[in-house]
Amino acid sequence: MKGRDTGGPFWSAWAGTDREAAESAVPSPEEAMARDHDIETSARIQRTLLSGRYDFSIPGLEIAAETLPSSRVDGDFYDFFPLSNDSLDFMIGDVMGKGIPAALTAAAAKSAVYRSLMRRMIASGGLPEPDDILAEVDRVISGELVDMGKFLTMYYCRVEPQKSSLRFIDAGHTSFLYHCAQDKSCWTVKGANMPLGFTESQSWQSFTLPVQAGDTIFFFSDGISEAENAETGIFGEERLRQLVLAHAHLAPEDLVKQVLALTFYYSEGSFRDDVTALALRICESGMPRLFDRKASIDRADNKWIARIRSTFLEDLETAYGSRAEQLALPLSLALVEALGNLAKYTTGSAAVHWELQKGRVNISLDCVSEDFEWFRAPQPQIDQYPMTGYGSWIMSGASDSILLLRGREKQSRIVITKDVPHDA
Amino acid sequence: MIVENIGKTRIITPQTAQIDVMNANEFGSMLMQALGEGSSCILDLRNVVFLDSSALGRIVIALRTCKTQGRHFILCGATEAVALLFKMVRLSQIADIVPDRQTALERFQKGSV
Repeated sequence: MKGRDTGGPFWSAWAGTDREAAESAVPSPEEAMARDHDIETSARIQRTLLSGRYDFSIPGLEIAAETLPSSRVDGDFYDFFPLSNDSLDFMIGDVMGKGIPAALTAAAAKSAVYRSLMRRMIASGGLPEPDDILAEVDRVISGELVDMGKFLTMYYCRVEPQKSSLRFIDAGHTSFLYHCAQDKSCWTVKGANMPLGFTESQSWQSFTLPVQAGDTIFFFSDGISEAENAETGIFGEERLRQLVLAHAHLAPEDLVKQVLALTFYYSEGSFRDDVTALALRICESGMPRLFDRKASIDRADNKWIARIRSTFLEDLETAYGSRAEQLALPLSLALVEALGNLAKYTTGSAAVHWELQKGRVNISLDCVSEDFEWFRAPQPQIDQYPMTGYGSWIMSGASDSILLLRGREKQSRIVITKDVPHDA
Repeated sequence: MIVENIGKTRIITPQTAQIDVMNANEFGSMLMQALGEGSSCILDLRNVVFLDSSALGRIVIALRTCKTQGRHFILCGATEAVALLFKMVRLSQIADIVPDRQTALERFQKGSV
């Protein structure tokens, strides 16, 4: 039987339309069942064949992830790539929209990542750079996404416990959370790039977050941070930051379950969007630390920047000997620019901390500040003779990565890193 | 800051080892005052071990002032860190940068600037 009962008031609303066409637009019970079956099969394919698996082990790392679709198929995705014995690549993303179109777009994006990874690994024989992977995925899919008016957000990350690092490149995805075990602080971390599908191409910026044993990193989709309660509004990133801070002692699997359970409870038993949570715990970190210093900032001393720079240079020499020279020039430029920004744009207590590791220099500055553009500054138009606008450009050029972490209220941590050349 | 005149050329030599956000205003005021009027200028940075973007901004303003006034302005004596900073912002696009004071004076004498 095709169509449904055609009598009665249901069809009176269609007066003046092509009845046959209208009739064919309404699914029969068989069609509805077939469609339902297709959706069920799609959901199963997504759950089983397209979802990330983590049936492997990386020394020094614990992981867990969970995704819950708001429809039976969703546009959230994640996957893991254990490409070497001591590093793990992974991605997490979210396609605009829901249902089968979003799920297909997610599958296409994942497929573009797999192809890029495979091609680059075969070509180079080594681990490809995360920036190159995302730039290639951008070239392959963004033009089409722009045409379709769709976009997706994602992170591509590489965690290397032995190098005490999480490298990541974002495509406009929502922030992630970093719980620092050493000082029991929890920070919101955000990248700087735009989603895939916003423009046909963009220049990509990647970041390094230094990590230590005990640290937890929690990625999520905006379905979690935007879980809604009729009375109290959306859950929000700050509540989520506090939630992760309070439960950072849990194993990643329990942390993921706890966050999903509490946000589900908050949204009164119904997520309006797909939700995904992915947690990592660094259990061992292997980068030897050669020197470590915390220096407080004495704003009353008008030579405090010069004094800190001088101490930093002495420590570099202590740690790396005569070969410190190649690090001293760029890093002192980056450090002084960052300290200059502290002097200009922040008030109250502030501190600087540097860790001189065998393979990397990490500088952190803790302060209280308004939202401030610490990175991604455009190159200054020197032929226009500008008096300002050089600082962020110099910091970016003099370091490998600059990250702004946001904590409670206006607490900020600026993290500058630079890899130490092999011979230093 | 030492200011000397050799012929029609004014040579300005800052004496501060590090110029950063804490003393850049003072440096900028002294530099503009030292520029004076009329003559060509050399800014000799041999004693400046380190300068940051706020000091750089003041040098750029001095360069702009001289350009507006039709005066030649040469930078010399940049130490390693200062030279790296100049390179990063491509200062050579708007400034003559030479290794030392002698080279700068020769440029003026030869009239090559």
